[in-house]
Parts: sequence; C-alpha cells; structure tokens
Amino acid sequence: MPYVHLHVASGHSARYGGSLSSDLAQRAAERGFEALALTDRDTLGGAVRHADACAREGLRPLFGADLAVSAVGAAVSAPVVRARTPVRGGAFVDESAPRIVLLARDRTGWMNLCRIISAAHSARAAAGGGQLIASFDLLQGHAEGLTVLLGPASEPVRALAAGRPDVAARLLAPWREAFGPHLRLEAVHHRRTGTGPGSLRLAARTVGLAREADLLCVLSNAVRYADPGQGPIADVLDADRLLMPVRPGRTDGGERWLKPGADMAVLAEEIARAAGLERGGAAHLLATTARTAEECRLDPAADLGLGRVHFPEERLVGAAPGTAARVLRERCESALRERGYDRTPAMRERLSSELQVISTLGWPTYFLTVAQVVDDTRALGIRVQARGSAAGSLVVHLLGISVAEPVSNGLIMERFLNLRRKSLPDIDIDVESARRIEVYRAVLERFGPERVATVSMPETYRVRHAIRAAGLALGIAPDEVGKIAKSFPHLRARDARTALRELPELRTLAQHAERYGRLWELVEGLDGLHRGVAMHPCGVLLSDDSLLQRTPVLPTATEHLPMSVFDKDDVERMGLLKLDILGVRMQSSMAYAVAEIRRATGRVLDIDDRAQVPLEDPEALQMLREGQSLSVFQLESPGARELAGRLRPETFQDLVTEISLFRPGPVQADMIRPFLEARHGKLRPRYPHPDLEPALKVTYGVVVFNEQVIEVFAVMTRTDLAMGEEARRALSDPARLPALEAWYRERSRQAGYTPAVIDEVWQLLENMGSYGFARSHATAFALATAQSAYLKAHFPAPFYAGVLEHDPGMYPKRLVLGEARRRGVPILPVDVQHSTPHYRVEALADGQLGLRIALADVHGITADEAERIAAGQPYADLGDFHTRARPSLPLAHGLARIGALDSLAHGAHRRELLLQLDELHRTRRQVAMPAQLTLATDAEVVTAAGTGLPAMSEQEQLDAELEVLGMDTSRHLMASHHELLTELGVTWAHQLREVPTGQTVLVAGAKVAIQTPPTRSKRRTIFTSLDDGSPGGVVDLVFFDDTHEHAAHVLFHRWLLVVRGQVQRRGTSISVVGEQAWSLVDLVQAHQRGGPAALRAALSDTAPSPAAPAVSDGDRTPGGRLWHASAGSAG
Amino acid sequence: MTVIYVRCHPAPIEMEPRLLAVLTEITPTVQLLPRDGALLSVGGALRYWKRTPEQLTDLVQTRVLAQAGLTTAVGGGPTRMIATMAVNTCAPGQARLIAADEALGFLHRQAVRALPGVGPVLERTLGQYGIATVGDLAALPMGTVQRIAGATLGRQLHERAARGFDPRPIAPAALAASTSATRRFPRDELDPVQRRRALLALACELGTVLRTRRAVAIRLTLSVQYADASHSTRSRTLGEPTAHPPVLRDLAYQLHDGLGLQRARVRALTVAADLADDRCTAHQLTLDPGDEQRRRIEAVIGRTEIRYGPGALAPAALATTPPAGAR
Repeated sequence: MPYVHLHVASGHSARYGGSLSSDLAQRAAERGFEALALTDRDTLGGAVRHADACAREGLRPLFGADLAVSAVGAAVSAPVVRARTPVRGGAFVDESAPRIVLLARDRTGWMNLCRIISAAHSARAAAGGGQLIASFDLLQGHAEGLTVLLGPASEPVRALAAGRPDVAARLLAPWREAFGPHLRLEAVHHRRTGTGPGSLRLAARTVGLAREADLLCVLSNAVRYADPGQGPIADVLDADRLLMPVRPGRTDGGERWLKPGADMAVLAEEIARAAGLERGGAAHLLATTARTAEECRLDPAADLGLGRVHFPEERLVGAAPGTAARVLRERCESALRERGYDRTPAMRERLSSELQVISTLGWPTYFLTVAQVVDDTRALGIRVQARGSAAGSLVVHLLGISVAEPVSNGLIMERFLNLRRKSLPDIDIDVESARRIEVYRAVLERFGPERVATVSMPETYRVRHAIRAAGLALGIAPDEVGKIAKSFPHLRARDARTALRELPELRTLAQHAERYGRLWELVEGLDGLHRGVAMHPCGVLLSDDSLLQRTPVLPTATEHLPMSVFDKDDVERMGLLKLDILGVRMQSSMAYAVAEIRRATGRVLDIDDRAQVPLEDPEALQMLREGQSLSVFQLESPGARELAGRLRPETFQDLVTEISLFRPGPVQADMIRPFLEARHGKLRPRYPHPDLEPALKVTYGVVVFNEQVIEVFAVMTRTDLAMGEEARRALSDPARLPALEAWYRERSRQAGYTPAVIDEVWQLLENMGSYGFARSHATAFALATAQSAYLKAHFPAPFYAGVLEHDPGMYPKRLVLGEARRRGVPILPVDVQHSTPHYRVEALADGQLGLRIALADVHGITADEAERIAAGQPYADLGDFHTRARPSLPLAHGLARIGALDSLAHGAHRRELLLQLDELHRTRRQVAMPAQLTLATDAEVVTAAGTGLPAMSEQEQLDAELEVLGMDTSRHLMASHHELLTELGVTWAHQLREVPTGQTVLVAGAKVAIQTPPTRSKRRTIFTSLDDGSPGGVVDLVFFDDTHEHAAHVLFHRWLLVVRGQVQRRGTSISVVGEQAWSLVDLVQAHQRGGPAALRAALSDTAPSPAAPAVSDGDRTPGGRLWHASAGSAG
Repeated sequence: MTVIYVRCHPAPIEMEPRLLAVLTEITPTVQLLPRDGALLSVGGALRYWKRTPEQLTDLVQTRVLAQAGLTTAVGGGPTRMIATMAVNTCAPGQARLIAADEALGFLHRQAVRALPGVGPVLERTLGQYGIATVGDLAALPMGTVQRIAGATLGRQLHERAARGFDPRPIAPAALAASTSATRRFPRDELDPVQRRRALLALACELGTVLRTRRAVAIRLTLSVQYADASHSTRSRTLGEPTAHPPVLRDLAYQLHDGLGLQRARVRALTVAADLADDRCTAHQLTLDPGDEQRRRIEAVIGRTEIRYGPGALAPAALATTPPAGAR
C-alpha cells in the first residue's frame, strides 16, 4: 500500500505552517500520493479548504490536529524555578508542553476533536493566558473515534531522548488505557545529529520502544511546508512565533517537506537498520502507516455536514414545530393591515407570491430568525436597517427589517430570492457600530451559546508584517525594519519585489535594497500564511444545537464572545447560517447627533419619520449640489463629489442613481455621460423598444441597476423575473456567456423582435457585464445619505459632534473640524473645566450651539483619567485640579500645552503652567499618602509674575495642538504659511472658480487623502486632495503616470504640499492636473535659512537626490491620523 | 585665552604617555582626558613662550603630529567650558580660539545641551519651556532656573550661562575618573554563554588597564546595549577596591544575571570602572590558598604582557578555535 503523510501542518497553523493547503494538495497529487492528512497546530480551521483542495486533486482527505497536552507523569527534569522577570526584551515564549497528534477516524472522532479544542480554549481563557493545553482528563473523556500519534514532542519519547526508556515505558501506560488499540508511536527522521527530536537515534529508539512495548509505530515527516527549499521560511516563522532572531545552529534544516513515497521508504530503511531490524522492519513501518491512514474514513459531505443548512429550532423564534410558514404569513398579513397596504391589490399579490416562494424553498424559519434578531436589536434602542438586495423583498419590509417600501420604490424580489436560486439568500443588517457587540450579546442570549458563534478572520502576512517578521528574524535593527515596512503601501507580500521595481516612491529604498540580502525573498515566501486569528467584524453564525459538534469555538480576545475557527467562506460551505451584522459608523454618528440635539435643546427628532426628516429636503440637496458633501454618507470621496457636481441631484431617486453610478464598472464602461446628457435634457431618452420603457424610464434609458437587467431579459425573452436573475448572473460569467447569448437570441426572435433591436439590446446588456448595482442596495444607502445630509444642513453642530465622536468618514478629523469652523460653528477648545470624554454641543450666550472638543482625543489619555477629570469639575485652581483629577505627568503637560488649563491659570501662560505642574508632581511624589491633600500647595505655587519664561508663539501652540490632538483647533494650520504662499503666487481653493480651464496654477495645502484607484486606461493615476483652509474647501488633484517619476515620492511621503498644475473642469467641479510637487516644509526651511535665493534653489531642485535619506512625514501624529491613504474606488 | 582643549582623532590608550610627554613640554598643567585628548592651562605658557595664542596652538598641533603622529583639533577660550565648546565646532586639523570679549556672545549662541551639567533629560525639559540656546537660559531670572533644575544645579547653570563663570580648574596628573571597555557583537546575541564570555574578556581587559595605570576599581557599571538602540545600566560598588580580574569578573556576572535577560537582543556590552589610586587601598588577606595563587598568576600575566604584548596569556574560555589549516 502506498505511503500517506499523517502529520502535516498547513499555512493555517498560525506562525508555523509554511505552505497553504492548496499547494500541499497539489504537490501531493504530483508526487503520486492517494491521500493526505491535515493536522494543523492547535486548530481545525483549515479543514474545509483541505477537503476542497483534495477533492480538486483527487486525493482522499484525512483530518486531525496537533495539540499540546498536560504532562502526565512526574517531572523527569528538575522542578521548575520561576524565573525572574527580565528587565528588557521580554521572557521566553513558553512552548514547553508536550505535543501529540490526533487523527479523527469518523464523525464521532471529529466531534470529540471539536470538543477537545473548544474546552482547551475555555481553559486557557479561564486561566488568563499561557499555552493552549488540553488536559489529559479531557482527552480521556473524549477518546472515542480518535487515533493518537506520540511523536518526538510527546512525553514518553522525550524521556527516551533523555535516555530513560524505563520512564518512557511507564509514561505510556495512561495512553494505552485511554486509547487502547488506537495508540501509535511516531518515528520522525530529519537527518539531524545527536539524540534530539528528528534525529536517527531517537527514531530508532522509538521503533525499538514500540517493539518492546508491543505497540504499533508509524513513520511521519512532521511536514511544515511543501517543497525542499522552504526551510528558511520555517525559520522565519519560528522566529516570529518565539519572538527571537534566527540563531545559527538551531535552524530548521530543510527536511520537513512533503517527501515523495520513495524518499520516505529510504528513511524507513535507515531507521530500521539503526534499530537493528534490517529484515522487514522498514516494510512493517510503512505498512502500519498506510493501515492507520486506511482506518480514518471521514467523509466531508456526510460527516462534516458540508453542503446542508441547519436552522435554529422553531420554538426559539416563536413558532411551534412545523408552523413556521403559518406564523410568517400571519405576521406579514397583520403588518400589511397595520400599514394600510392591504387596500392595494398589487401589494397583496406581491405578498402572496413572495410567501409562496419562501415556503417552497423551505425558509420561513430563516426569515423569522432574522426578524427576531432585528426585534431584539430595536428593543435595545439601537438603530438597525437592512442593506443589500434584501431591501427588495416585501416580506423583509413587513417584518420590520428594512425601512424602504419596495413597491413604491420600484424594487423587485427576484434579485434577492427566487425559485431558481437554491442557495440561501443573504439578509445583511446595518447597526450602530459602537453598539455592535451589544447586538451580538443579544443574539447569544436569545439563542444560547450552543447555537451561536461569531466568525473568524485569519490575519495573514501582508507586506508590512512580512517585512517586520523577516527583518527581525534576520537580526536587522528594529528601527530600520520599521522604517522599511512603513514605506511600503499596503500590498500583498508576494508583490514586494515588484513594488520595489515599479513604484517610484520606493526608488530610494530600491537603490540600496541589496543591503538586506535575503530579506525580500523571505518576505515573498511568507505571502498568505496565517499569523493569527481575529474576530470577523460582521457576522454571527446561527445553527441548531449541533453547532459545537461540527466546529470548535474559542473565546475572542477582547469581547469574550464564542468564535468559530472557520472563516466566512468556509462557514458557508459547512452549511452554517451566517447573518451579517455590520457596524456602520454613520448610524452611530446619526444616533449620537440625535441624542445631542435632545440633550442640548430638548427637541426629540426621529430621523426615520418622513414628516420630520423628509427625504428630499431642498437645503440638503442644494448643499450636495454645491459639492459640500464632506461627511455625508457615501458621497464624500473626491470622485463622488465630482459626480454630484455633474449630476446635480434634485430627488431621492437621483441619490439612488448617483450611488449606483459611482462604481468602477460604470466609470470604465462610460455609462455616466449618456445618463447625464439625458438627465439634463440635452438628449431625449432613447429606448431600444417601447416595451422596455417602463423598466428604463427611471434612468432615462440607460441601464444602471441589476434589476433593470433582469427586467430587460424578462421582457425580451418573455420569461419571468426569476429567469431574468439567472440570466443576469450568467452575464458576468465568461464560461456561460455564449450559451446565454444563444438562448437570448433564440427567445427574443421567437418573441418577434427585429434583429436590429435584438442586437442593440444585446450590446447594452453585454456592456453591463458584471457592472451594475442593486437598486435595493442603493436605496438602502440613499436613505442614510438623505438623513445625514439633512442633519448636516439643519443641525450642523450636533452633526459634527456625531461625526467627530465616531469618525465614520475617510478624511482625518481635522478636516471635519475645519469645515465646521468654516461654516460658522463656534469651536470650543479642550478645557478641563468644561470638556467631557465625548464631543458635546454647548449652548452659548448668543443662542448658538458650539462644539466642545472631547477629552478622549487628547493623546495618551486613558478612559479612567478622562472620567476623573470630568467628574471633578469645576476646579478652583491648578493645585485643586492636580490633586483631585490626578493626571499623569505627560497628560498634564499635553493639556497645558494645548491650553486646556488656561482657565485655571490666573494669568500665567502655558509654559509657566508646565513649570507649576512639574513642581506639583514632585511634591505629590514626595507625599506618602496620595489621597492626603497637601496644604503646602499654595506656598509651593509661586505667583506667575516674573518667571521670565518665553511665552509660546502661535506657531508653537499650533504644533502642540497637532501633536496632542491631531487637529488644528485654534486656527487652520495653513494660516501660518500665508505670507510665503502669497509671495509664491498660490491660488486658493475659492479663487479657482475664476481661473479659465487649462491655465497653470500653484496650489498648496495639507494632504487629506491620497488614492490610486484602478482607471479605464489601467495606468496608475494618483488622486489626492489638499486642504488649504480657504472658504473654497478642498482642492482635488490628479497626477498621471508621466509625472510620477519626480512627484510620487513627495506626494506619498510628505504631508504639506505645494503643487503646480493645470486647471480642468468637468461639469461644475474643478480639479487640477498636477505636474510638479514640493514639500511645503522644505520650502519654508529653505526660505528661513537662506532667504529668497535658497527658496529658488529648493524650487528648482526637482529630483529627489539618491543620497538623501528617504524623508517621510508619518501619516499619524501621536494625536491621530493626518491623511487617508488607500487604493480607493474610481471617480 | 587661558585654556585650550586638544582633541585627538583617534585617541588610543597606548598613545597617552607619549601625548602627555609632548604636551608637558609646552606647559606643566596638562590634564589627560582618556580616549579624547587633553586640557591645557596656557596662561603662563603664553608668557614663557612669548607667542600669541594662535602661534602657540600651531606649536601644539605641529609637535603632537610630529612626535606622536596624531592629528588634533584645538579649541581655546578663557575657561574650560568655552574651550570645550570651541573644540566641538572644529574638524580634525583645525583650531578655533575664542577671545575673552567675544566669549559671552559665542557662549550664548550655543545649544543649551553644550552647557556642562545639562544632560539629555534636562535638555528635553528645557526644550519644553522654550529654552533652546544658552542665551535663552541666561535671559531667565535665577529663581526660574532654580525651579526648573533644582537649587544647586540651577544656580551653577545660571552662573555659567549668564556670566560664563566656570571655576573648574585644570588638575594636572589627575587620574582619569573612570575607564571602560566595550565588546560589540556582530549579530543579536541571545546566548547567555557568549555574553558571559564577553564579560570575562572585558574583565581581563579592565584588569590590564588598571594594572598599567596603577589604579584600582571602586565601582563597576555594566551597560547593555540592545538592537533598538536602548540600553540598561546596573552598577555596584565593590566590597573592597581591587584590580583583580576574577573579582571584577564575578561582579560583572552578578550584574548581568541581575538583569534576568531572556529574549533581549544584545548588541554591545560595556563595563566601566570608577578608579582610585592604588596606593591608598588595602587588600584583605585570606587563608584561602587559591586566592593567593590567583593573585600570583595575575602578576605573572602582567609581566608576560609587558614582554610579549597584550593577550599573550588569557583564560582558556576566551580562546577561539584556530582557523582551518592553521596548526
């Protein structure tokens, strides 16, 4: 029988495995194996991918895990002495526990394996950390269906390595008792010298021990990677796991790859010879291995439950067993009557057809489950709304899950669910991001932890983490490693060398890339491997009570929610029902704004009430038309603003369309221009055939929505909408496209359309391809857009408070604050007498509402300190503040420097306050009991007059604000550079309106965003926006790739920029096509050093000199993020 | 101008006697600063040699280059502090002499860190208060400076800054206050065995230096430098001042173990010893024959090194494997 590898770790083993399971399966198939086991370290998370990969390659999959167990026997070595805490560098990572391999033979084995891992995780959480250890009692209790392999890392074989075969034999006894005939010893031969794990001597001794103790012994290779040259990757992973650099002499050796059967046979020969069993020993070893593999018969579909969905029991959603469909119908019908829809026959028909489809497909319980979750969420007072195509279903609306009424909004059900789609429809719900965990807990409480788990998300090595791991493993200095890692954008690790070659902003680094030797190939080798696991921030799993038998769960690190080890794709394959609960910060911001309105003015505003917050408020729409859409949901990016400027939305439907048009597809397919021309009346809307007018009327003849594609198909081929949805899906699949075209042409010819019409419509549909957006999804989004725009237009101060509190947008907070200031909202700085940990709206003397900056944004403040400061208000003087609020010294310094203590100063300026704080701190430290009020404070604090310390200049105050808060609160930071910029002849944002198209201008400002989205021409284009503090808002810039050579480095790495370019216009929106960029700070410094001559020299110095170090402004101050950088979507 | 500071690039220890000899010919008040150069008080020498300060500086630089083979940078000023600041502005081979009338202006232009008594922490604190140069510090009233830096230090700093008052004398033939030895590792060193070996080598090196200088160590300071450029320092006073390498070694081991390092990436180890003259120390005899023998061996090592050069006799643990092919 052929050999089977029984001990294999894939990339799913965090910081241990060197190859992904797809690669392992592929190599195994190439090398002629018939079956392959997957025994990841401490997890079962790779099981589904392994099953799929094996099915693709035609291998039989085996499943298991490599776990640490508690020590059974008395310690062979000296008792553990508790080592002292090291002064620097941290303690060794403890990996001393013995390890074993468990293989699942059948479904019971799998279930026991899941239970063992879940219990081990709970035990670790209860103990507060440390190694993941399964206690021996746990294994004993769950031994059924499992085969155990005791390899070089297990206790008995460790005793063998220490030269104590007697102890080894004794330690085998409890294992024999627990596992009986399913106990195996594992011999591993990695050609190492000595007697340690992987050496020939130990393998031979293991075989000898098995023979003496009458046990079976298998041969394995303890595989960590697929190919022979990947040993260094394993070393880097070990270095990252153990947090130490790679030490010469303790490296991996390169032998732990997926060796073909012939090589394993050679190893078996060597072991047998060393053990004195030349005749037949090797054959015996190989045969035992093959037989052990034979016994493990786990069928992924039948035993793991792949491919079937398991709903929660009906009684949990308020229906007696078997009555779910009836309960659903009753609930929907009563909702229909309540809202007064039952007078419309169209509604009643729609409802009954939807209910019929739902019943036929067997999903009433699903809908009732989601409705229950939404009801529980609403009961907690949390804002909740459905997103996605579910908003198109009337049942979803009547159950209260979605807010927009589908029929009047022209939404169809078939995009969401129809008889031809057998897979489960996705109902995704948006909740307030700040209260998302509360929603999860509510679901847990309702359905119980045996039915609910969250979904995991693997953290993989991307380029920055890979550089850090490989750099520290190679022993490069940590500062240097950090600098290199930060200069890369967020790419995949395997693109590291390509990026070095191609990206101009990495040019300086590329020039001395040779210095780092093997770093780059190691970085690329780490691509896609797992570093750890985190909770996926969007979903919960619901199941019947068999959940814990099919997946292990572990408690998440921070919130202690149970989390399944499978990620979101694997979970679907396993038939676990996933409910996406997404936290949307804008919902939190709007809820916060409403709460602030109530607190400050007493007015109760319900933003879901159309009477109070209309969807087509004229002021809000005017604001959007002018491009003032910062912080408005979905419309704040430069491309979206430009589109709004051209589209000039006037109705709610316009918002829906805009959200759908602003996607990469429509931009690349040039759907926007014909739509705009028709919209603004420059062209009459043209329909290929009058039959299509009802479907395309709302978008002036242009196909924009998925629903319209469905309707067009249905009309042209005289079929139902369900078939139309199928056709739409086939449209984006190149494999199915020819068959689709043939069918379409045949049916439409039969329906009697002329060939010209058939061709034209096909062209339209083909161009759509995979583009197009679901109207239901866009409608759900547009609701939030309209609501946020209303709040911004009518309640600016509370709106900005909500936005600053929850930071929903892409831009840094300082830009939001700048806009608030420009719109006339009084900005009240941080003040320990008035500020709270959260942003607040304060009513001022003249009746206006001012925005008070929060204590939470002060760099380094803890939640406790913020609470203490707020609780102790008002303060009499500085000593009183210091005694009662007990701030740490760095925090007190920060507060003094930004002027938060000015109201306690009694005439002293900020530096004098620093001096007083230092003295108070010294006094407090000398006092024995910190709670004792010292009466000496008055005498210590000498009056401010006469310290002679220089006062902080305005520029220094501004720098302090940026450092401590990340925001320029007292005034705009560009104001200090006004003089120099006027001398250069810079054009401000509000002056750009008067500049004719094509003229060259100079613009300047602080970078607030930089993006490199994919564009039609596939060439890299840089979009960036500068905030120059003028009333005109933000200046949008475009840099095409011919300028990247000299401009990219400055654009990506510097913060304050000066740019020369030409003005271009599209509609009413203006942007500048850049040709040259400088760092403003460099120009200012040159001017200060050497006057106008030095300034001119700096301006003419265009190329970044290779000798100069790569100067780079961090994209964060300690206080917060300074600009947004991403790939971005097209505009 | 009465003080000049002569800085040698490089300043190896073995050149010190020759340098001292050359400089003593020019003026008797020479204070050697180990590994850096020397301070000379030249008030009398200017009158003796009947030269201007520039000519005297030329003389010093030429003689040192000719007789000791060392390139020097020279700074001169009315006080020791000014001379130090002046030499910090020079490249090797140059000279900068500050006359008494421009001394105050020069002083006030310097960064506050250059003032003796201001360390990195105080520099940061002063920076927060907006004090960047010595002139800024001089402009403050004395009371404020005392509040910032403490009563004594504050007064000293204020006097130095405002008036350039630096009464520290040049003490000739004063023994250097401390000496140190460093070992750098080519890669991050996590193995405690290798680190202890390095400490042994440092103890032996310190022993040699102490023997040469006829000094004893009173206090040892161990400084460990890590890969991220941070460092830890531990120090302890010896029970009895000694120059005996095994005692130094044991104390160094103790200091090292006290740090309890496990995963720290050590890049360099430095051991510094505070010195005293060995004529004023005593050694407690013991009845242990081993101790007696070790001291005798140490004396032998000293004489061997004089004859055959440093490193002729060393502990076996420091012996490295010979390169391949060597016999």
